[in-house]
Amino acid sequence: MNGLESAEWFRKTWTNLRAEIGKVVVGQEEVVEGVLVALAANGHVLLEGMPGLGKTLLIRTLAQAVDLDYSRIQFTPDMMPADVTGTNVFTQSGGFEFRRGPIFANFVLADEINRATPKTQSSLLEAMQERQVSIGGTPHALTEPFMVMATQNPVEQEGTYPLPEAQLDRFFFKLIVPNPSKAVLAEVVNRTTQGEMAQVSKVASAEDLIQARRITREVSVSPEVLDYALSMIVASHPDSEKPSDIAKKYVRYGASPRGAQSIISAGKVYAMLEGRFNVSKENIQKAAKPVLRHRLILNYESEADGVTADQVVDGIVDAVNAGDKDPIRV
Amino acid sequence: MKLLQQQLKRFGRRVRLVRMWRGAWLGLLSGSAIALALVAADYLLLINFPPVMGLIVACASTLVGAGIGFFLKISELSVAQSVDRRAGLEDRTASAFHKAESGEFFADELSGDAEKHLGDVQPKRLYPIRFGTQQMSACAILAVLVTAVYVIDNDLLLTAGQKAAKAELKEATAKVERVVRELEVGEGAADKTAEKKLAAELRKFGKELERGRLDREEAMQKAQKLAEEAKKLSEQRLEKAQEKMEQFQARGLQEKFEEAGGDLDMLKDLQLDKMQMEALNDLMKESGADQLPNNQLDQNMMKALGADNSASEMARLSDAQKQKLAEQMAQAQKDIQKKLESGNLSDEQRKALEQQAKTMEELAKKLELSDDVKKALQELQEMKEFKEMQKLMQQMQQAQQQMQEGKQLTDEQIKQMQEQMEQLAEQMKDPAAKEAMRQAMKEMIEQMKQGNIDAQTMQQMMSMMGMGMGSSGPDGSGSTAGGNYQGEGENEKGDPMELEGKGKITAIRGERDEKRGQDAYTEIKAPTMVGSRTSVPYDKVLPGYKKTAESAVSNNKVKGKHRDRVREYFEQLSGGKGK
Repeated sequence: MNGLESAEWFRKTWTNLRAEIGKVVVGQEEVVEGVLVALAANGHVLLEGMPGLGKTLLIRTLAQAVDLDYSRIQFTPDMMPADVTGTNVFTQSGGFEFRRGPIFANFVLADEINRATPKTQSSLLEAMQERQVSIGGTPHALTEPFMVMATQNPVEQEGTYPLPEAQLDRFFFKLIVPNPSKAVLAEVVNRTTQGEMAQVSKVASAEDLIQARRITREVSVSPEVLDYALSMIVASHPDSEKPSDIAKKYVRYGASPRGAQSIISAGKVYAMLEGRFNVSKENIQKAAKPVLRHRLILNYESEADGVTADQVVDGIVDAVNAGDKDPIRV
Repeated sequence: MKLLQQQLKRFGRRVRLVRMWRGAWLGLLSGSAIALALVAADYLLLINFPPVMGLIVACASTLVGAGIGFFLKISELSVAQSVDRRAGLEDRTASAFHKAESGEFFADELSGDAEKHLGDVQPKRLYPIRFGTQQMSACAILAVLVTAVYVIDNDLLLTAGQKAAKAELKEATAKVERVVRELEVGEGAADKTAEKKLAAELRKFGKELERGRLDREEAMQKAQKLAEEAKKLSEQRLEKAQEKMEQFQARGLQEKFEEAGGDLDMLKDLQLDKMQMEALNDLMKESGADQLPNNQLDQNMMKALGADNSASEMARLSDAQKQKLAEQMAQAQKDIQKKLESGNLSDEQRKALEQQAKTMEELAKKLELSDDVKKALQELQEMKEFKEMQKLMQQMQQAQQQMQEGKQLTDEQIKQMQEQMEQLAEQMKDPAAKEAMRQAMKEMIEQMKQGNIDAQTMQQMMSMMGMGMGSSGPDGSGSTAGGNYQGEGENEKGDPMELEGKGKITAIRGERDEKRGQDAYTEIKAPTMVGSRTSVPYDKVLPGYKKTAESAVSNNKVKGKHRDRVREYFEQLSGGKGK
C-alpha cells in the first residue's frame, strides 16, 4: 500500500469500527473517538464518570468489534497484585506452573481502579509501560495489541486510593464520560428495553490494529507544529522559561515528557482521521485536554478557587495561541 | 515541490504588493503629519520651512514607505505559514514545505495535498488591498496640509489692496532674505553662533513683514535694532580678526625664539620692538623660563631687556633678584661715575654714559623703599620704647662682647642693665605702648610680604629692635643675632646635605657640666628656610629631640634631680602625652 491507500484504509477501518461501536453505545462520541485514538496510538485510557454511563459496555463492544480477548478486573481494597498479574501455582505433578492473571488479555478493563491499594495499582505499571509482567523473576510478555482501560468514580471517594502520579502518567488519555443528554438517554432506553440487542460484528483484526498504529506513526509533523506542542507542555510548568499565567497560579507540577509524546501521537491520529498527512495545530489543541488534564498536578489554590484541570489546560492553550501570530503582517 | 514553490511565489508577490500599498500609505500618513507640524511651526515663526516643502516631504515619505514595503524581505516559509493560517489549510503548506523532499512515508501525498489546497486559494482573497482607517487618516492629514499650503501661498482670497500691500511686503522680505543669505554664506566668521542667531532673527523679521504682523512703526524699530546688532557683530568680528592677527604675530615670534634655540642672548640680534618684547615675556612666563635660577635670570634679563624695562617687568622680580639687581646697578653707577670723572671722554661717549646713568637712577628708584615703608620705619624709630630698647640692646651687645673677650661685667653694669630691663618691661606692660609696637611690627611684615622691604633690611630692623635676642639658658645668659645661614647638616637618613635658606641662628651659652667651673658650650640651631616657611615642621623634629633627651636621661647623663623636669618639658611639648 502506498501512502494514499494506507491513509484511505486507515480512515475506512476506523470509520467502520466507530460505526460498529455506535450500534451499542449511544452518544458519547467524544469518548468513543478518544478510545479509538488511544487504540491507534498504542495508549491506555483512564475513563472517569459516574456509574452506569456505559464505560464497561464501551470496552466490551470495542473488544467484540475487533474480536480480541477481553478481561475485566473489578478492583477492590483487598485485591492483591497476584490477582491482577497471575502467580506460580504448585501442581500435582510436583512443579510450579505460572497461572496467568486477568492482565493477560488484549483489552483489560480495570474497573474502579482507585478502589485498589497502591500496591495492587502498581502491579499494572510494568504491564502498561513494558507490555510484560515479571513473576518470580521471569518476564511474561503480553500479547499485542494490549490496551488497559481503567475507570474511576469521581464520587464516593471514601475508602479509595487516588492513583499515584507515576501511574496516571502512563495513561495516554483521561476521558471524562459525561451524563447523556435527554435525547441520548431516550435512545439508550429505547435500544435496551425493546426488541433485540444489537449484535456487534468484527470489523478489524489484531493485525489491522497493529497496521493502523504503524501508519499513524508516519504522519508528518512540521517544526512549527512541534514547537507549538512543546510550547504547550513548557507552558504547563510553573517554573519553566515561559510559563503561562494560569500555570504559574494553579499548577504545582506540569506535564511530563510522556505528555509531549502523547500529544504528538494523538495529533497524528487525529490528522489521519481527518484525512490529512500532517499534524495541524488544531489537532494539538484537540488533544490537549485528554492528554494534559491528568498530568497536571494542581495546587491548593486551584482547589480553593474551584479551578479544574480542564480550565487550566484551556488557559495554557490560550496563552500559547496568543504567542503564535501570523508571520506576515500586511 | 516545484509547483508548491511556484504557488508560494504567487502569494509572495501578492504580499509584496500589499506591503507596498500599505507602506505608501503609512509613509504618506507620517510624512503629512511631519510636514503639517513643520508648516505650523513655520507659520508660528518658530522655524523657517517653506509650505511648499511640506508637500514635497509628504510625497517623499510616501515613496520611501512604498519602497520599504516592496523591498522588505519575505521568506517562503513565512508565506507558507501565513497562507496556512489565513486560508485555514491546517499547516498543510508549511508541513509540505518542510517535508516535501524528506523521503518520509507520506511526503508525496503531503505535497500533493498542499498543492491541491493552495490551488483553490486566490492570493487576493488572502491579502486584499484595503482602504481602511490608516488610509483615511492619511487622506485627512494630507487634505489639511494642502489647505494650509494653499492658504499661505495663495492670494486668491485677498482684495486688490491687500494684494498690493502683500506684494510690497514680499519685496521687503526678499531684500531681508538676501541679507540673511549673505550672512549665512559669509566665510571666516569668528562667532558662527551669533551670526546664525542674527540670520534667524532677520529671517523671522522678514516673515513677520511678509505676513503683516508688524505695523510700520514696529517694523522700523525692529529693523533699527537688527541693524545695531549687525553693526555690533561686525565690530566684534573685526576685533576677533585683530586678535587673530596678534596671535599669528605671537606665533611667528615663538618660531623666532625657537629658531634662536631658546637662547636669550641671541634675541638681541632679532631686534625686537616693545610689543614683541611683551609677547616674549608672556611666552617666557607660559613656558616657565622665568623660573630659571636667579643669577642666570638676572644677567639674561639685564641683557635682553636693556634699560627700557617697564614697571611691570620690575614687579615680576623677586626680592633676591631686586637686591642683586640693585647691587649690580650700584656698581654700574659707580663705574659710570668714575668714567665721567676721569674726563677722557668724547662728547658722544659722555652723552651715552649720562643717558645710561639716568636710566640706572630710574631703575634704582624703583628698587628703593616706598614712602609708606619709610614713614612706618620713621614712626617706629621715633617711639620712646623703641629708643629705650635700642639703648638696652647696645648695652647688652657691649656686655656680650666684653664677656666673649673674657672680661667680667662689673656689678654696676649688671645693676644698670637690670634696672633698664625692668624699666622696659614696665613700659611694655602699658597696653598702648605694646599695641603701638605690635602695629609697627605688623606693618613691617606686611611691607616685607609685598616686597617693599628686602630681607636684609628686615633683618637689620629686627636686629635693631632686639627681636633676634633669645632667652637665656637655664643658668646663663644668651644672645641672638639674625642673618643668613648657610651650613651643613644631615637628612633623616643621616646623609650629609647642604642646608640653605634664611633663618634665625640661636646660640645658647651656659653651664652644662655638673662639676664646678665653666664649660664653653655653644649649641647653634638654625632652622633651614625655604622661602618664608621653615622646611622642617616642628612635629617632625620633636621626636628626634625627644629621643635624644630620653636617651640622655636613661644613660644617666642628666642629673637625677633634673630628669623629671626634662621629661615634663618634652611631654608638654608633645601635647602632654607620655610618649
